[in-house]
Amino acid sequence: MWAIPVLIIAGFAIGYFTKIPFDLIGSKYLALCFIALLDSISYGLTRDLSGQKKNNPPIIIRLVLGLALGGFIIYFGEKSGIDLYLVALLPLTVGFALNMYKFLPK
Amino acid sequence: MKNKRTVRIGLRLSGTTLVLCLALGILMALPFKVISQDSSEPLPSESRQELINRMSKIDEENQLLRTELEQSRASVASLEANVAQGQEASQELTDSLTRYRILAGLDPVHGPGIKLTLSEQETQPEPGTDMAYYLIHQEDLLNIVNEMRLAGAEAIAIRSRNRTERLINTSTIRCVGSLIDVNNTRMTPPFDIFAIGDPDDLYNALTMPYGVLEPLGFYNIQSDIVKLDDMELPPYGGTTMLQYARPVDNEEE
Repeated sequence: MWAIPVLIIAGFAIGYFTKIPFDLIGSKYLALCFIALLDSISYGLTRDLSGQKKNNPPIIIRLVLGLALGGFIIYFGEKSGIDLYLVALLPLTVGFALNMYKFLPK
Repeated sequence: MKNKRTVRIGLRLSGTTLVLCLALGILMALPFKVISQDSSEPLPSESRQELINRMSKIDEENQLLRTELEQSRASVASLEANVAQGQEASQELTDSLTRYRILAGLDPVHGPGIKLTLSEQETQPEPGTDMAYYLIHQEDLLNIVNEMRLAGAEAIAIRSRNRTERLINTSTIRCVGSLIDVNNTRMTPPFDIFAIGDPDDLYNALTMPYGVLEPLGFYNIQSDIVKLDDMELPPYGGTTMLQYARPVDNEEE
């Protein structure tokens, strides 16, 4: 479990000290990626801990689906003038919350 | 028991989850990089995004307006150049046309000059002398007009009674019986001959010894010259038609 915060801190250091091109205009998609990663990581944790990996779809599928669906909703909202940004983040946030709920002591 | 479970959990984590954790860390660093690059106070995410969107739209509009401004300036400059060229050309044409109309006698003109009055006096010719010598003839007028042109007269007109005829390049002066025909207008003495030019030159040219006026004095034809500072001559009243003369086309040569 210690690997998770270590890797996050390492990634933060990598991202902070390396020149990664980033534009603030894409911050909505950045937020989507952030929430989708949180959801996927939490899903991966529950999947790994459940011991039933074969019965659950792979983590990458959940990540790609979350990114694709959320990205489509945000893109459609921007093009149509309707702010669907929060709508796109909501299911991922709920999924993340539900996954984390499983870690609560019963 | 609890420590054992923690270790077991750490071992059970899949590689995908670990990679995603690393990616999450990188992702978390990006906004901090942007905020640290912006020296200004960080805004709430939503309002900042709105401002960024608005700013990008304004930038695009600004770029479009700049492009339109450049095009408009270029268009205005082009139109001004065309207008200036047109005005210059038009002014040159107008000046040339006015000049040639004055030279052709088609426009009224005014300026300094002289007024020469020729009048026949009632005299009793000596016996055996032809009365015709005491009359003003076409040669007299032609000589005077010729002398005036030689002295630099730029416009000449002959007045008799209430008729004034402007002399042009096709004007005719010839005797018709006891009358003189000027531009097909019958005139009788006294004649007033107006010439626009240098008054002194004109005066000296006419009054010089052995000049054109001296012989007239022998036949008692009185001539009075008055220098005028300004006078106005009417335009030629007839029609000027070119029936045979054609301009030479230089390109065909």
